[in-house]
Amino acid sequence: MRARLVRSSHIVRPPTGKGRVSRGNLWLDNTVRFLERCRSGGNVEEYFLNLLNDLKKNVDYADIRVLEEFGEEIQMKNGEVNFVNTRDRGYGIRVLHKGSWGFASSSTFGAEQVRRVATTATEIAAASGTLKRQSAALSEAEPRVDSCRTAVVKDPFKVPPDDKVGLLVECSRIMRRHKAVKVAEGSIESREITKVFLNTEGSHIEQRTVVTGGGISCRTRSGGEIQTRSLYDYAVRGFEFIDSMNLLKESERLAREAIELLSAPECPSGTTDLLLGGSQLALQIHESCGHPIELDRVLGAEAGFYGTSFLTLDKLGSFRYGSDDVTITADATLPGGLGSFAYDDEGVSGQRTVIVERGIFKGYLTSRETACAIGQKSNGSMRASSWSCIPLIRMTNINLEPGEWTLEELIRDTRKGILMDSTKSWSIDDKRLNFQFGCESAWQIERGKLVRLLKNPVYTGITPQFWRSCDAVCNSEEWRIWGVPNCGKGEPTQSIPVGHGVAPARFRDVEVGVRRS
Amino acid sequence: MSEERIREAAKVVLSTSGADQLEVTLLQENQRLTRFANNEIHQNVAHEDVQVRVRAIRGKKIGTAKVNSLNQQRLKWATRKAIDTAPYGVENDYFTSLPSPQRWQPIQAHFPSTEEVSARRRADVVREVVDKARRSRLSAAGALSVRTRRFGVFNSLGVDAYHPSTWVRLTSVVSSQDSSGYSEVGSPDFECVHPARVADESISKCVKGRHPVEVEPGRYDVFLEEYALSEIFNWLAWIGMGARSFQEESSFMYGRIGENIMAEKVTVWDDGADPDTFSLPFDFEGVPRRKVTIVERGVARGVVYDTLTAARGGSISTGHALPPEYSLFGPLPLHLHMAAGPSSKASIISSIEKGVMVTRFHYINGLLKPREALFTGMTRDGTFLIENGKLTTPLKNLRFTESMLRAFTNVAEISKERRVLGGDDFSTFVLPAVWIKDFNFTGRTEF
Repeated sequence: MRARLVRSSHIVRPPTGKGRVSRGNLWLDNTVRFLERCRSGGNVEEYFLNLLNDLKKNVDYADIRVLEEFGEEIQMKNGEVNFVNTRDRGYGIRVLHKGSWGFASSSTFGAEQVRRVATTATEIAAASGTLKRQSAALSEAEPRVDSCRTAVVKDPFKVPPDDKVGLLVECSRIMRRHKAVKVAEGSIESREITKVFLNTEGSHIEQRTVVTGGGISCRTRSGGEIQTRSLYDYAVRGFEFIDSMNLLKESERLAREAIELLSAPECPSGTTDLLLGGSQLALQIHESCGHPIELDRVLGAEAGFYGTSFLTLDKLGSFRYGSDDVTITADATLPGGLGSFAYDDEGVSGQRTVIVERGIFKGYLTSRETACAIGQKSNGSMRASSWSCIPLIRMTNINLEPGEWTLEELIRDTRKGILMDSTKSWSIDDKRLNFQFGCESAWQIERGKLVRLLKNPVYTGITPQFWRSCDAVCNSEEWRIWGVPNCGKGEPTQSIPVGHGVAPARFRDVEVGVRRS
Repeated sequence: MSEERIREAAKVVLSTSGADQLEVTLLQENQRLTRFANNEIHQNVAHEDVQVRVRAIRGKKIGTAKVNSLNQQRLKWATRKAIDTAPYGVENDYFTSLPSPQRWQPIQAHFPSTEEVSARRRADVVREVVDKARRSRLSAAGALSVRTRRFGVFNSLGVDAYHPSTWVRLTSVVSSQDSSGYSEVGSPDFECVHPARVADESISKCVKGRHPVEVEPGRYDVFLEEYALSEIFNWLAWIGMGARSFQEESSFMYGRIGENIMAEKVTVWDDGADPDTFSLPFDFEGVPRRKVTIVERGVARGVVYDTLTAARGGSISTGHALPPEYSLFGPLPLHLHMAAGPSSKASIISSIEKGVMVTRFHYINGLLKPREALFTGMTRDGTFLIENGKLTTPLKNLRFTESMLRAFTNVAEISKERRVLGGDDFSTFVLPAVWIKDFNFTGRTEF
């Protein structure tokens, strides 16, 4: 079981060291070439390294992120195809000046422009200082000089476009063979992101990340009834990930299920035992654990927009978040996880942190600044969605650790209940307590057997009560990581990829259906 | 970045050979955002970017590429990529041509003084909100956003559309130990943003909201303030007011055109040319945005179209195309208006015997049953019990699960006051407050 949690082998690293940047390393030459692609005159030192040296004289701290992203997205709907290529690059400069933050970013390169952006960041920091209660301070972080990349088996950009389009069109054809299928759609997305991080403490890190994902869905309709079945997933892997999804085979299964749902009985309302399949449990963890453990949110940074958290500082170390069966980790080192990375956007290495240990709340996701508030060092959770945005505390891979059960045993052990899976709708309050989630499909369980398909399943609860009712988690054979490509937070909203490792689990006495009044 | 620079870039794209038709949209954006929380500025940023989208047409196939630079080499890369990938697409039977030039009415939406607002000035505005909250021993959070946008659409058939605009938005959530209050203002002109009013409204809500109590979920009359209605309209637009969802038969409008779907008091339209909003006189295909009536006196009238969905539906584009990467999602109304009623908000509240006033909703989801527009969501930042025409008791937050078709059929009154809300993306709504009878609250939370 633990083998899957060992440090990633997909990240290839040269020897790590501290100190100033040298042009002697092969990997650093790659960095230089990347930066030179971004310039329109002058040299790398002039643009960024010398700039940092100058900034160092005037500010407490500064960092620069330079990013370039290549993307390819193929979207398909009922055989219609939209082929979108993207090339995006820019840089962001973050400055801590007299205890206040400023950040400026631009997609325009050039010596003069870069200096102007740095000046803007410093001026903004000075303006922030006019309305400050306490000075921001950073917890210690060892300067790192490193280079890492995603090792892919099959480079997604080398797979012929015809093959990708052909796969999606064939999926569409299979689903639309059934008359009741009104909409068949799918997508395949590939991104390669090159990111260079430099700071005034001497860190110089280059990371190249390949993200691949996509999926298919179909929608059926009969009268006023609409049903959807879908399968989407994403990973920090190459095109081998798409191959592993068996989309052609899944097309037929999803279409049949979406048709069957049209005539299935409505999910009943009441209190019952609830089994959640992996993809829905991923969302449950995301909304009711992943967001409330973001320490910036806990400290009020999102109060004006996305909200705060019920997991206040007084609860750390003692609050019973869940039952003894619930152990949750944040782990940026899982191979292939969509929330996996070598370094965050403060140059802190990705790591594994225990969040909930046998039901007791033990840890937050932290940044260098917020970690100070609880007397800790950052656990490497600061990321920005692009060069243009300031980094925020974001989920990595937030995982429910596996238990002992097989899914078959769990169903057999359930006298009366409902098994739900595949997210359809999601809503939770601004402290992350009251939630209501809807799923695409459900199965009624009677005397240890799945007896009938149910449509429009919904369940609701209060986060800690829900997790305390968990009495069984399936084992490592059932455990897998789901990729969520679009976790939103911050202003302007930053959409970022995260992962959730889960195995199906059971929750006792959960309210299902919508309360009638 | 000047208009001239944008036009030069468009020329580079349109002079490339290899496609039957070419289209380029250029969106230059400059956003400065000052976020505050715990009575201090904690995130303060500026960013500038330009997004160039190229669509290449080869026969009935379309290729798209996006780049964020006006550098010639990059523009050529995007154009070539769009041209080269077009053949990988599938022939689109409904595609006939990119749009031809059409006349559109320019709107004065760019305020140079707004574009020049400094970080210090933004901090001063935020300080006004924070100082007022501090004096009331409360904690202020929120954001002041100042945006400048230069938007151009050009194609090889002669479409030549350029529109500069500015938008300022100030939001405030003021909190105590057990309550919070929200307010918001938006305008193209920085001088029209009055922080004291924003502060006063959110502080007043927060103070009135102290010591909230629980009520049993159930059916209540509700008075939804403009902010709450805005969250609902976002989802209504998303799931049912565009031609794609209509043609795919998932829209709550599908099969109901000409029928009563809401109360007679309800009229809803989209108008991208309203100068009080973050206006957009043409869409991402360069087609002028028409004023489209979606619901007229409760009767479903129609949805909005782009070129492709118009061809499919035997209609004409209403000028609501989104960027080409969203073409399979289809067109959307981004400037929804709801007609005002005759009564003031105060007089409507005074008519409600028993009900719940909702300032704002949080995390609405409209995917439960799109044909019924069945939504769920939580109240937030100011929920109050109305008894005998008065706000009597602050309430802990409630969850609703309700069909919006049913809710808007039960509209009893609409306020004469309307607010301009949103503007963080392309969308701004102009909405009143409404009294809705018999609204279904299905759950509650602990605060």
